[in-house]
Amino acid sequence: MTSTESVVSRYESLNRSIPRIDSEDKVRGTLLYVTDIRLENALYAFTFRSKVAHGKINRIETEDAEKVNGVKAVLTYKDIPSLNGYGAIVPEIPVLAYDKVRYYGEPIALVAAESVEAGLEALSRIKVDITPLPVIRSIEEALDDNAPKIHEKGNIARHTIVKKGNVDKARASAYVVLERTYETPMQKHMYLEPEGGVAYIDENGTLNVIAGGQTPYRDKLQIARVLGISPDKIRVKNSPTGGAFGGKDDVTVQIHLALLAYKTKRPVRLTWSREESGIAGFHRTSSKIKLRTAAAKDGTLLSNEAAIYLDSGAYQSFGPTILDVSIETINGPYRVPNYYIDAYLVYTNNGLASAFRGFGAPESNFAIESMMNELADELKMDPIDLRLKNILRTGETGPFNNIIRHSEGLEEALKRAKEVFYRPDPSTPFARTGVGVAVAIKGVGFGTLPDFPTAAIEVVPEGKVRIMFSNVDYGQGINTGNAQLVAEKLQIPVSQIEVYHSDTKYSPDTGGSSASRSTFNAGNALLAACEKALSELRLEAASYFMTSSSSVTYRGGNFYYKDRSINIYELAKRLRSRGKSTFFEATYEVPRYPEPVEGTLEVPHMVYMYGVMVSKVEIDEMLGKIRPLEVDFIADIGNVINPAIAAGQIEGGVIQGLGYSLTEYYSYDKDGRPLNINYTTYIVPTAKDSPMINVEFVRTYEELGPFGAKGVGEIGIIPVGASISDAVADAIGKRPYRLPILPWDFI
Amino acid sequence: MRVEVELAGPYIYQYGGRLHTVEVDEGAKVEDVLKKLGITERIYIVIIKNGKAAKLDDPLSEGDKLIVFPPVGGGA
Repeated sequence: MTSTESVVSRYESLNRSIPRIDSEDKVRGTLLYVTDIRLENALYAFTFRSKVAHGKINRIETEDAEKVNGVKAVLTYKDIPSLNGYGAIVPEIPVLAYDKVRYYGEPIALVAAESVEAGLEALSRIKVDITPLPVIRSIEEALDDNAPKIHEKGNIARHTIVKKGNVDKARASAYVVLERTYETPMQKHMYLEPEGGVAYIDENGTLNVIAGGQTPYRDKLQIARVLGISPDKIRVKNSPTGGAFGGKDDVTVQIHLALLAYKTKRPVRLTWSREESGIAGFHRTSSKIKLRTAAAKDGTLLSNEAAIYLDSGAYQSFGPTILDVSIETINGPYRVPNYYIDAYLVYTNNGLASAFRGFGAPESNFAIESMMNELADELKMDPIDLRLKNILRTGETGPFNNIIRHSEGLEEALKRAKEVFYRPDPSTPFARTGVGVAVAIKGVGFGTLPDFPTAAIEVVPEGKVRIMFSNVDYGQGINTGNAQLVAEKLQIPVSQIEVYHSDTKYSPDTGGSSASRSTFNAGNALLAACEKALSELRLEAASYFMTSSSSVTYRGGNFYYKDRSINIYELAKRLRSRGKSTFFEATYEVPRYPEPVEGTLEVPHMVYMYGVMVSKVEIDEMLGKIRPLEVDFIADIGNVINPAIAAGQIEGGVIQGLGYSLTEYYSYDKDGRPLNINYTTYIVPTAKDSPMINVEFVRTYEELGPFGAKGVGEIGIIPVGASISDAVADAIGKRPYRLPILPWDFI
Repeated sequence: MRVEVELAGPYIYQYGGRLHTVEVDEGAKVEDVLKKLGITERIYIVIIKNGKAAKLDDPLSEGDKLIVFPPVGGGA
């Protein structure tokens, strides 16, 4: 249940759990996912991948493959018109490998054929001669002085130091100093829909790419950079997407699709198999974090020293900014006057790491929140009291020189957590039970990076308001949430709103769906567009009433003057009859601190979400199996637009976090071959594994957000590892320092 | 004429700091500012002029404020 549902709302369309606007299509099966799209005359595309994790390419032979009847193209790096590279931050990921391969499954060639059979036959005829090189499978191996270099510049993609105060002095005066090392695993997104898409060139010569992604406009620029053509000649449309979680934020199939359609001049479809998604899709950075944290006898935190190592895999993708978020969250939401953060992004031959829900925060959170729980043990303090003592209060200056906004929600959430923080009774013989707690913090949006989302609305005389933005609804519900925001602003029913989204042909550039930013950014831009619309419509209404605009009032989709009224659709008709537009576009400038903290790209953020998670577990004494019994998650996400959807985001995050904490670890063999690439071998929690999850929202209002909303997508997963770990420690008296927590680690 | 330019993200480190004042000739365009700053990227780049998205061939006026950065992001 959610606390807001029992609250009487002053809004007509907000704080209400209306059904998702795409529910019916999903339930009826009429929503067309990318594999449902049928293109006449389309070629089937396949990817030839490296069977060596690290090696030098000597020769690529495609002649035999090209001879297969029905094969229309076999492309290698030689066929790339411009830049053979992509990557959201640094374009270092080869579109097709040319001199080296750096991970098992790296694409070397593309095939497009008239049939599946011809395509597979061609794949089997491609010959590649690769001289294997030693495979680097861990952060330690990568940093060894004698390690072979994965890239010419070495095995460190990014190294930075961020510091404040004097940690040596602070530590010397401390009552307790704990030094611990924490490790977290690579995690696969395991979306139900693997990566895939279609591409074709239309009658106007525009290259259309329809694929499951997260950021259409940035994908368009990445495609243009590879093809060397103007972005204006490319359209990227997002198909309804069956899950993304960050794994589709950077490019997956889009450039390959574009390249094949561009070269063959034919429609092309490319869909990765589940196993291909396992081998070549992105995963979460694994981490190793060394912490040395000092506190006074009363629990006051004095200093925090962190060495953060993230495994970026073979290339960077979003790694540099993931490292920033790890840096930003390693101090938690706490008053840490002295810190020294030494942070590394490291190359290995472990596939491709990139964005994943939480974006570096779950890694740091496991470390700092486990540390807080152990400090509470050492100080013999209640772990929630320890946190209440140290959390930054509204108006205080945070560790990264940011002024804290609205942390009262976190304080309230912690106090509420105390009420549910008790050890459950053992439910079965030979079982031990425990209770654990952790706090999460995560910035909304891109921190100090400039962000100017643009969105639009169109008032249609036929009685509809179209809303347009480029964010992708890959299951999180933003189409519905944004419709509710506009309905509230225009005081009309949600049923009068039509959503047009994530298509660079029709949707303005609102940016992508990431960083829990979609509601905040698209919502604010849409509200600004509504303001423009209402202003223009008011003038038209005044003209209709033959009075001044200040004499006109607006209520429930109608303008009033004395006893007369006219609705917005009739006004739109009047405007159009005179050739005037009823399309209103607005750009919103996201508030930010312009100057990043020295050593970072985008720290700090201005608006943060918070969450407190209390978990109860039961451990089978005989088998060591850990069973989560119950989770209480109290979140501060600002004003809650749609409680059911928001709670669903938290619940989904928690369950994904339970997998991260207890069963999921993506791994490679000694030769760098991935071992668990499908649902049989990579174990994600199912509904059967899910405990009772009680989600509550504290009532807060962030003035910068649309109707007080912040964001919600990522906060659910962030504290799970530390909270579950704390519950396990409570049950067995031994504290885990590594995720996932596996029975054989402690039995 | 003078144009104020803010660089963001990795550009801060690549092109010598965050804030720049660039002197360009009358009739100059956005691209001329990029050339002056030594920025070679022309496709994978975001340019904001006075709070709105701009293109390379957009004309400039005295006192215009540009924000220039690669379209990176943070958070999943």
